[in-house]
Amino acid sequence: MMRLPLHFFDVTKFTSLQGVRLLWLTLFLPGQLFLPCNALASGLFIIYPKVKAPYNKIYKDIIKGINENYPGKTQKFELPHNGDNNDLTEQIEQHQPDVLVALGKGSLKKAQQLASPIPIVVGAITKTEEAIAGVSMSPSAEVVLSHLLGMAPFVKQVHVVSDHQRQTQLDGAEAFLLERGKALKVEQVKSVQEAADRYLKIIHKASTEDAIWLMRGGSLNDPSILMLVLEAAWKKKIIVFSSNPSHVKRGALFSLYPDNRKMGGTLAEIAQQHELKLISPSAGLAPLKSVHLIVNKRTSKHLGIMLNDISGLTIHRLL
Amino acid sequence: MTNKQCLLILALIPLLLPISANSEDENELAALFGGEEFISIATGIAQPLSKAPSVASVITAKQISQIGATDLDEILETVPGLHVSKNTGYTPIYSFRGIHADANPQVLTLINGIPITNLFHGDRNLAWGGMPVESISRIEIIRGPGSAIYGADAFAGVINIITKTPSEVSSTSAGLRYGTSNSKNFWIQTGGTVNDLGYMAIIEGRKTNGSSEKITGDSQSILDALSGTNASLAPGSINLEGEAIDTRLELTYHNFTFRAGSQIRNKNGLGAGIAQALDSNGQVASKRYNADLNYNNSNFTENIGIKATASYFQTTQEVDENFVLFPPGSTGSPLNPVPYPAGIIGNPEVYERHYRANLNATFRGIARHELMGGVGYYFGEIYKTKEEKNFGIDPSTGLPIFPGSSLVDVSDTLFIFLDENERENHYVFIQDIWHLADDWELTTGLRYDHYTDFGDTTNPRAALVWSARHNLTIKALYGEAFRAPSFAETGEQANPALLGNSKLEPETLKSYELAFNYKPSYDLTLDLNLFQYYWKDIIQFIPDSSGTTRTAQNRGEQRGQGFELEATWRVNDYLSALSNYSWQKSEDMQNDTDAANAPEQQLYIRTNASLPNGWHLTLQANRVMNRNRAFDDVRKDIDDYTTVDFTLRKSFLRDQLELSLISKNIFNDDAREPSPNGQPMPSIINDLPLDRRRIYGEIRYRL
Repeated sequence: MMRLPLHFFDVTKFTSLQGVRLLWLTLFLPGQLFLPCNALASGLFIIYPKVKAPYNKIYKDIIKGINENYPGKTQKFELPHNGDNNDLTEQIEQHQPDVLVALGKGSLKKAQQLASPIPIVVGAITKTEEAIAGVSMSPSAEVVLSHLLGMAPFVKQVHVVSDHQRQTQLDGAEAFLLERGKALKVEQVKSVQEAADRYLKIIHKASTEDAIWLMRGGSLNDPSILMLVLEAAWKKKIIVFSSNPSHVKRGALFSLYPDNRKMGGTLAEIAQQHELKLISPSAGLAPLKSVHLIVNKRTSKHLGIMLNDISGLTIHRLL
Repeated sequence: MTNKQCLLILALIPLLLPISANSEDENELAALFGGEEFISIATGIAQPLSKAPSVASVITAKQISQIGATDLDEILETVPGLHVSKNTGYTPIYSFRGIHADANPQVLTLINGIPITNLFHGDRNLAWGGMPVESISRIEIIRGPGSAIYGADAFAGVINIITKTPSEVSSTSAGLRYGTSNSKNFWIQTGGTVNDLGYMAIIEGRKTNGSSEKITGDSQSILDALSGTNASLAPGSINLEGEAIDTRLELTYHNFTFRAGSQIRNKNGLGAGIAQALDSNGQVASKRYNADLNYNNSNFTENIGIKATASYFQTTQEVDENFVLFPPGSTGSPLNPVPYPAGIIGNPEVYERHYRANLNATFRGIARHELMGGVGYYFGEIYKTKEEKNFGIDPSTGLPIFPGSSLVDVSDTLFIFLDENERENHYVFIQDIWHLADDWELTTGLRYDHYTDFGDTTNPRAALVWSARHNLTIKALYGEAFRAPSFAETGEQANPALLGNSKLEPETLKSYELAFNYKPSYDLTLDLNLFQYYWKDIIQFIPDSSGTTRTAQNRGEQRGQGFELEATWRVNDYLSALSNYSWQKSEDMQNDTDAANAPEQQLYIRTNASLPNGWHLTLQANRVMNRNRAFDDVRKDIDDYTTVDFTLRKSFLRDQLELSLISKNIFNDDAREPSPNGQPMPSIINDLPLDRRRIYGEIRYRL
């Protein structure tokens, strides 16, 4: 079923009296006008894990975002720690939702175990074994780099030391930088020691036009590496930014983390596309675009980046 | 073991086993955000700490739980450079860096940024009755002066208690604690969000029989010796029984926050007595209510942030049971041959109201500068004082009230202890953070205050912060502060011993600090703070030429210096340790001697083990050393003491249920705080005993 397009009413074909009546109707009967839309969306069923505080706040915020952006009914089901599938199955049968929204790995697993024909949308997850429509919790390379260039437009080269394949992300990053006349330099390493050597060499040669991106994963998150990189980069005033928000506390210039409420909104949109059959169930995870920016004030001042002067970026947390 | 017991144990076993399902999701989120602490910051549950250029400590709710604190004072005692002592009423003296006075008006105590200090004595009330800790999100303690920001009384230190927000209390929970001295605590809290309205409500209750610690001699013992009477209740127990109910409500809606709360205290014992004579009868009460409305918009315009606050605070000191200043049979004076059969009774009551309005703005429109300015207004009044007594002058006859007479109401007469009074204060302040160069930042601030009762005062501060290395920050600070005289100091009257002085000037303080913060590794942080201060115009009650009374005067002068060394070490994921050592040397310049009562050295150590299976164990030790006597006190220095505490917690059902065992002073040390000196000798010669071993059991449950 289709949503009524707004241009369905061609106001030029109406007399002024009819126009006034239509305006009156539009103003006073908005509920009636949108009624078909609500009736169409018979519902989402959100499955999320029962986790302790503060983790539960993440799911609460995502669900809030879904509810705010989904016009139909939503039901939520908190997955118990060690429960069987009976309750979940019963609830789904009772509510007959159009789409299941699974938040987190455990919820996805349960939703898949049901072998139900109801399409699944997945959120609060960084990767799935098979392609399922949803949103990743990891920010896309484009989003990360646009924040970098927003804060430090003078950067010309971004260095990445990687110990395993992140080709998709790196390709995206390279294309994004190339478009803007900048370059991505990737170095593959096999050990922590090798990574340390490579970082030091990069920093040794670097100027303030270089930036180092600490990507997630592998042994590169070893605290000793982080300390080494941040100390050497501090001395030469080289920008270091990280995919791990906690590195900001330790001296990285900035990081990004999901705007959970907006991510919920995106999940609601994907769910509606499912209802309208506008998306393939195996579309895969869309990269995260709605992010919050966290900045280390001390580091930004050391680098001469005046936070007051950053235009177009909103700093969500300042450490 | 009976079958029933076996069954019970078998039924409990599943509760003891760690539950691992869904932890995969927690692990993934932890990896993504970089840890649990960071999730709290990212989701807005915890606010990142502001890095004000001052020497500050922050104690979070998690640390409060580790400490096993049952009261605010147990938390504050862990802060370097701060020692919680007691006066004879056993209300706390927060003694910062050697600045120590009985009423403790040199410390500004705030709840959510709003002062709870009284006009009467500049303290937190005779019926303070402690403060329970469940509503506390964190406590920010600034050592050193803060008058350039906070105004009056931010003198020796500032204690700002921040209560939990709706996002921190996102569910309903309750708890019970029971322990030594029949102490019972309960609390129920709830919080959440409906649409955009956040709500948090908490009620905490406490009832205790107090303490069974005894004092061996009191002021009546001396009077007995001089008068030949036998009235003293010493040796006898101090009286610390009491009942307390605290409530707090917080509502948030977009940029608005409304808070309201109450602290009701009933039947509070008077410690070692109002006149340092044991009083097993007297009980004081207090009703404190607060409300505030805040508007906070950091992006009011592109470059301007606005914060506006209006607040109301009402506090009372009321008499539940007659205050028996000297016990039945006392003559009150060696010169009086006739004993008072019901004792000497004085029942002073004080009722205060405080109104505040404040508007702050930040301006980010000038390159390399962050400007903050504000204006504010304060009106405070003691709107009612009442007193009944069975001694002194009867205002209806003009004749002395004879021993054996019933209580005479002297309210609204010349013979009351204190007249009603009021104070207005207007202020304006400005602060600039100037980013001088990369790694260098200079903060300068100036605040001008006009008081209707004692005039004007202007207080500057300056802080130069240098990020010397990636892991080393050095701060140099200068600050000035003032302390407005309390109404007791300016207006006490009809008191046989102490008289106020309306001509008093504020006490002033100048302070210099040098602070180093060094992080040799991500798991170890070291802080070193050096300080020097000069405190003058100290208000003291000086003997009058008549010889029987003493009048408040700006007389004292004190200079001090010292350092605090702190280390926090995260040994691994499960084990952490924290320690601090404080040293100070202060000189009573008026008498050319070491300043009295505050400890010259303090050492605190805490270790915490948190295991993944839900067990948490904290051990802490606190040593208080080198407390000098006053220059004319003949007693030998008071003994040092060490208290050792432990907290054992076990959580079940993914933290929904928690059982705890808490013990304070497990080695039963005879810890004492100094009693005041007196002439010809101290009234309570053997000092003020603190609690011996205490044990509590606690249960918490979250829905």
